[in-house]
Amino acid sequence: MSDELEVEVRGAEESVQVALLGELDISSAERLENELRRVEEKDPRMLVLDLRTLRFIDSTGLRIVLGADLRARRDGRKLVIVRGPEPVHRVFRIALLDRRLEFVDDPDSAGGAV
Amino acid sequence: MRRIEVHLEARPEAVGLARRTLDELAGLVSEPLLEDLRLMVSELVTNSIRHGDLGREDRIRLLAEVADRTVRVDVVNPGDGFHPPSIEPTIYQISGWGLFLLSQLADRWGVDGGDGTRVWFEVERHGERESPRRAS
Repeated sequence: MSDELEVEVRGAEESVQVALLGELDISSAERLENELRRVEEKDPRMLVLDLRTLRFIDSTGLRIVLGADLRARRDGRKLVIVRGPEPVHRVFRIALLDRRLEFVDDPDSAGGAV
Repeated sequence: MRRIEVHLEARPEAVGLARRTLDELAGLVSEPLLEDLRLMVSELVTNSIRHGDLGREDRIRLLAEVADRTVRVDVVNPGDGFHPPSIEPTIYQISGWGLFLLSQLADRWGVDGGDGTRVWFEVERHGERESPRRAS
């Protein structure tokens, strides 16, 4: 069990925010996946994944985010990602996912995102 | 020339420990390069955990060598000594995104078989700020 990643879930009903704190890799992947699915099961209209306090992500983390995006599209839910610091966002950029996924600079923009 | 070698228990926490090990290089290499190294080491050690078929007594060896022009990192899994090397090359096991990220960030990389499985990469240090002692 890893203590490197904290997951904070805020909000309920229509819009749920999931904030990640610390570092995301294989040691915390399953726990995050479970947490995301738990949130998704409650069928929110929007899920905001907040990466501002995430310090590290690798391909394991990318896969989890992609999984959440796929499930969102399948379930008719909106997934918006609040951009993380450069070491995190660059990984999405290198993987050419910065255009494919929906990123915003802050959570308040998520509500207004078309 | 600076060398680091650590032996990590084969568990998921090894990935974060491998990144912490590289913290020793802060100040020796630029921060952007260190970020690249952290990411690539995460990918390689993750691959060892996922596909290395390793048990609790097994140790993953992480070696990092910082020279003037290049940084080289090796991640080595133990071989069991009883069975011949896997026919399926490890390279195909660094699946999808991990391999892609490695190919994007490393200048050279490769897989060596033999008794164990060694995956390595090299990164050029050009573009980093030069040491003040070097002639301009």
